[in-house]
Amino acid sequence: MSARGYTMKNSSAHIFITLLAIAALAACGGGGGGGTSSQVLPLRGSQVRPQTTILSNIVGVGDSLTAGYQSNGFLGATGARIYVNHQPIPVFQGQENGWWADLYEQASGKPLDAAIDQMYDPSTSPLPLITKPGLNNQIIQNSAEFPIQEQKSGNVCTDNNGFNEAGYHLKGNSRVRMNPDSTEIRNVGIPGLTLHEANVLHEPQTDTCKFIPGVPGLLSMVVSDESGTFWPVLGNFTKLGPNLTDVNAAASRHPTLATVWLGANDVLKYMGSGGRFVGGDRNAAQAEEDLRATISTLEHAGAHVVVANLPNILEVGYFQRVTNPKSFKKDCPLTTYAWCLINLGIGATKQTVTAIANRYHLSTPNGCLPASETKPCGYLTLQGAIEIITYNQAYPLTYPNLDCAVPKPHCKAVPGSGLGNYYITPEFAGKIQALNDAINQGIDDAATTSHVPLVDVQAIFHGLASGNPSDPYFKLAASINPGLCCTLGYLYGILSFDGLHPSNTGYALISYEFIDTINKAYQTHIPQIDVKAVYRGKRCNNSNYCYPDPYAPPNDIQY
Amino acid sequence: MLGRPFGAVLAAVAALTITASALPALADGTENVYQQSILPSANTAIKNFLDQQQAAREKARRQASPTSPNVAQVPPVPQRRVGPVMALPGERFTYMAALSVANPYGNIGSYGKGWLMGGADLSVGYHFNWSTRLLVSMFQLQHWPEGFNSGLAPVYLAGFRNPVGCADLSDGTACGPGTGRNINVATKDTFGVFMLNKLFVIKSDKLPGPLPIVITPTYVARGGIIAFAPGHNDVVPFTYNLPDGPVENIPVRTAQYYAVALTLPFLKTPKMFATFTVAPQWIVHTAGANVGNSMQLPQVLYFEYTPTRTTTLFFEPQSARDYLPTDPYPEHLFAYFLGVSQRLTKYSFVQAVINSGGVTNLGPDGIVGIKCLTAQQAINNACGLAIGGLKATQLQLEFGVGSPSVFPL
Repeated sequence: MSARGYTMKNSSAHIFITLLAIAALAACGGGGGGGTSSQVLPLRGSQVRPQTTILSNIVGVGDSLTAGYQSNGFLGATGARIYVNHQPIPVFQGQENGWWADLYEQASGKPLDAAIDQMYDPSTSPLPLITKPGLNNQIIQNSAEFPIQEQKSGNVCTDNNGFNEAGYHLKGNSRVRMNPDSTEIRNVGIPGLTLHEANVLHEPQTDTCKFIPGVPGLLSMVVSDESGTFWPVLGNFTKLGPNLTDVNAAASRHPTLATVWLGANDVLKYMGSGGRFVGGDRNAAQAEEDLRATISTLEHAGAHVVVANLPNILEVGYFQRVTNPKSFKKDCPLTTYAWCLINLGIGATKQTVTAIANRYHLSTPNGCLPASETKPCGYLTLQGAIEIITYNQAYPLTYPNLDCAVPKPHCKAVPGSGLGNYYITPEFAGKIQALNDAINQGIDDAATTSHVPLVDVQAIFHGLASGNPSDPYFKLAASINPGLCCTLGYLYGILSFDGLHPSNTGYALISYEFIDTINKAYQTHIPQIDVKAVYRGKRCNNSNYCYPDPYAPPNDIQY
Repeated sequence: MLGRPFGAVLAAVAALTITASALPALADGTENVYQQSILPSANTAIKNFLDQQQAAREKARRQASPTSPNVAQVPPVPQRRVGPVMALPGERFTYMAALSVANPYGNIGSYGKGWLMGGADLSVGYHFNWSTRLLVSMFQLQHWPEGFNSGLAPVYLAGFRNPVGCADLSDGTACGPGTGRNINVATKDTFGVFMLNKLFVIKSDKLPGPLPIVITPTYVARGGIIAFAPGHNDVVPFTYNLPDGPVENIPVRTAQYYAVALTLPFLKTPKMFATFTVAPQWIVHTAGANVGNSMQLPQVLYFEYTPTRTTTLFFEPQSARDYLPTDPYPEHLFAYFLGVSQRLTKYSFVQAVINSGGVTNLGPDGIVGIKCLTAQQAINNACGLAIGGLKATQLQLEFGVGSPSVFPL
């Protein structure tokens, strides 16, 4: 159904798409723990370019965050666009704007223009470039009506003559990939991948984009993402035969430096299923064991390794707090409140949000602390907030029952069934945070015992979420375009439209931390990335490759 | 009858050995080879030898001590023929043929209740001389193992470390709607046994008399049928080393073994007879989850009581070993056979045997996990089953001609 521009599939397809997206996403968020690290953004990238052998062959192991997934889409081709009301709307590529691409370019030792050209060139790119229109269903800007909408408005599996479906098959690579026969692939980030899967998954868990009826436990939903991107990423590594895994693929490149950032999907799959999916790593020991196995494999292949921990996913824009802000202008940029988006969409009052929160037991009358296990907050998900908006647009003056599989008038509701998909109760938020903390503990333990440096992404996002002007990360981001960009509130510059994956600017901040950590740990001298240049689109001279961040004010949505 | 001290020592040694090694147990596999083939033939050879010795001693005693009319005397006990030997002309070939049915018992859920598929036993022997015999037999055992249709099993999906759900093996909804399943695990194992019985007689001043022992080199080939196997055979999806092991379609009941059995008696009276058998055993080749092929040492005790000429009661506890493709290492089984044979006519018999056993060195019995490589496998029942111990109990009724397995051929 479609209303005022934000188009989403209803019924089971709707849920399917939503959970697929959730499952595939690798989180971004802020989290507890203070931060240190970089305090000042360089106005320009450093011109110092000493090179060491450790930087001669960099590979990336990870999930959608490493892949450069953005705005619920996986795309490497430039010039993609769709037409809405005969008006062309660009679909921006994310792969080349990811933090790993930024790092690779900065460490290449080449002039940035040349390095970025190489990244975009299918014959030389280390990325498994996805061609137009991109995999999954990218959320794009639509200024004509509601500010965002999904790129594919029909059946996401059959749209574009089954482009998404092609991703589920190895032979589909010739259609999905810009460089299907490449021997240069070094980024093996697979959207949706979990910690354990990286070490052991040999083939996709489903061979179709279509919903599989009768499978208990939301299996078909939680595995669809990595299944639809497994071959597009690893299709060039089939020579490994039965030993093909994400980590083995990376190791087969005999890297000198390997980045490893995994674990977000262990949290997100649990979250998105409302706690029903518990197949991912469940505690610190499991996460540590899996990550140590990954590190060991890469080190045996000759790599120096750097790992990253997770943000607290509940601090990112996908999770919209149901408490109400005092001031739209002052509070919405800093923290994602459900009312900010719902008010933008349908002009709803704060009382409306409070009533919805009470209906689904999301309220915390005695207050709450974001990213707290003991005093957690309640949330609407971005999916839930958008459902409220689109439903109200379709059925004026009414609101959906978020416990219906297909919210519509007089639908059959199963109390609690909207958990994870549409809303997060405080109790469930506490469990999500506990898992988030456990995975991070495991990552920290693995880094410590393996003696590899750790990029503290949690500290970055927690600092951004704090809204504290003295926090170095907040100060760093806020200085990019003072008074306008960038903060962690939904649509305020750090995150893309899916509320989970970073914007170009957000990815640049992460790249900044990776570079800083690698330089300190391995005595390298990778020139720092110019985050402001990324934001402004001035990092290179080719306007097809470098353009103002489409997910950051003032270029994204005008509130 | 063997001298008392000798018999007691043998019994004690045998009992000690059983006790020490019978930590685990199970009954649906190679223990039947001993019950059905190796032991009967070895026991028969020993029994016949002992009977002949006894007859010779009685004859000599009667000749040396003529009967006095003033002395009360128990009439000599006639040498019992356990049963007629069913032999082809020339009496070098012996045979047995029987049909059987079985009913399973134990924790098998409600789905498996009822009589199992029928089976058949065939046996042919060739006597080279009084001490050497070649025997070829085929027998079938029906059973419904425990733990396949009751309880809950975790379900794993490739890639994930922890179970993604569970399955209610009793077809219930304990794991949620649509998660119940029943598996028709009615199984019929077929054994082919090729063995050579060779009787040796040990004589020593320290022994109360000649001691017969039988050494039986044996080759066993086994296969089977599992009701839910798509190909009407024993090839079913199987997994091991959860959560990351492979899912393979393998013949889970197929294996071949070499064994050399040594059987010796420790009790012989006109109505009772007992032996102890130990049989070093190896699999011919590893398969499936097998990780090694070290020598296994199954041990069997056999007790027989014959109250009448046509009736035999027997009890056979075993510390057996089973090493199927589903086993990473050999299953240690404690099993027993308790049965009665009744000869109906000169050529026919009926036999009822309760057979039970279970594994003691493996985890829970039956399905311990289900692994799916893909989500589609979950709805197509193509996921691999991880198997723990195999435990089964069944009553088998057998109708045949010739000599039942507990009778001499």
